[in-house]
Amino acid sequence: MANERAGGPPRLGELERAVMDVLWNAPDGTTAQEIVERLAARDGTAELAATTVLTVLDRLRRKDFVTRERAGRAHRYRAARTRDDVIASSMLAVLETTDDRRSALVRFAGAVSAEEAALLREALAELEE
Amino acid sequence: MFADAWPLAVLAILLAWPIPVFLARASWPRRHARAAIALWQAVGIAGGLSLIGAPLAVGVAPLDRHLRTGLFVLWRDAFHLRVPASLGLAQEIALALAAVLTVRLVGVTLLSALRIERDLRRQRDAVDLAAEHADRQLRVLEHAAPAAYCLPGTRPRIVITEGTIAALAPDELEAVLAHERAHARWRHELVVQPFVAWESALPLPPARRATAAVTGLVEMLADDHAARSAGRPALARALVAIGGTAGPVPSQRAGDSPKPGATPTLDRVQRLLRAAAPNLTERLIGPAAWFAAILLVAGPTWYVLR
Repeated sequence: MANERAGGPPRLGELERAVMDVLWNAPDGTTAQEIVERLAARDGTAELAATTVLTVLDRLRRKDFVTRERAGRAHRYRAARTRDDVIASSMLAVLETTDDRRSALVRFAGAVSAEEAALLREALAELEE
Repeated sequence: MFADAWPLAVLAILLAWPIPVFLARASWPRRHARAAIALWQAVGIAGGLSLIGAPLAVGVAPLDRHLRTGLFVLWRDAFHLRVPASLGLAQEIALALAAVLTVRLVGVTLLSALRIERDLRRQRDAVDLAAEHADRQLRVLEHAAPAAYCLPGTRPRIVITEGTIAALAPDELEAVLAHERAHARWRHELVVQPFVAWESALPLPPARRATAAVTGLVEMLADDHAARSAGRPALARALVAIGGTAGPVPSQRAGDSPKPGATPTLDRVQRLLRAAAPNLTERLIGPAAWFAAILLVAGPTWYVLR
């Protein structure tokens, strides 16, 4: 796992990302123990405590990124949405707010019409002269 | 018989209509963005207070000539669970109006703050987990459409897409990042969000004008930062590149009548191009706007507390 602070334990945010990466690569879901093993195998490090991974999974569940279902004595965890879906809805939230100032998001530049795009390019040519 | 009510009512009307219209049409704010923001804030504060103060003053007019002492009498009687006998129906309606306005302004502001915070937290979680971390602040989303934005807060995130990187030359990208970093660094959301809340509390044309104007002015402040670090040409090219490919044009809101052919993006590019050295009059407008802003808040406050 990418650990920015050499020697220190990985931060919670990094663990959440690592666990999501595992879940996004396991569309059929996986158990906490499997996540522990895959993280250790991936990074070549010692296995994390299962409770640590369970804590991370719990946080991710509260953020609505992970769902779980009973599977025998353990739980099976699954990503609630694919990574592409998460990205797509982020983009949608941003694109939709173009004209909606009630949002805290402000895009760098709002969309312009074709005529305005032409005007903009003209203006730009003026600048380059 | 209305004593303090008239001046406050006149002020409320001036601040609700002609002053926002005048301010929104003026062209000097683009050269004095910071002073213009202060003036809009003063208009908002003084407008809100006079809007509540005027019906209050009508309500307590029979008790005392002054709003302050009249309110004191009302409070004293209310403390003893008694309504002053001299209050008629008209006064009670006025007081109820003031109470409703106060509760609405405060309530909507709080709700708006909570809603924005919740939305932002969701957005932050999403980009933290699903985007590539370019550094502590910068997140890169794997998406082809160009977009760049800032998720403001105490630990802000600047988000760009792969499409943004693909569409821009290095100096243009630097300009975009400098622009967003300025938003994050100077907490521009704290300037904009009160206006957003004000607009939801009183969804009327003057509030819409104020929000639109302040949103635009904050963009100009960030543009100024970006122009200083990356240069005007790079910033203008970036605006054209992103604005020209940024998807469908939003439909205009009914009731809004912006100047023809002036979306914020075009306006900003033109502003970057026409940065002539200001003459003396133009240089004096900035300090004058600051002075007006202070006067607008301090004047009525003094008048009510005198």
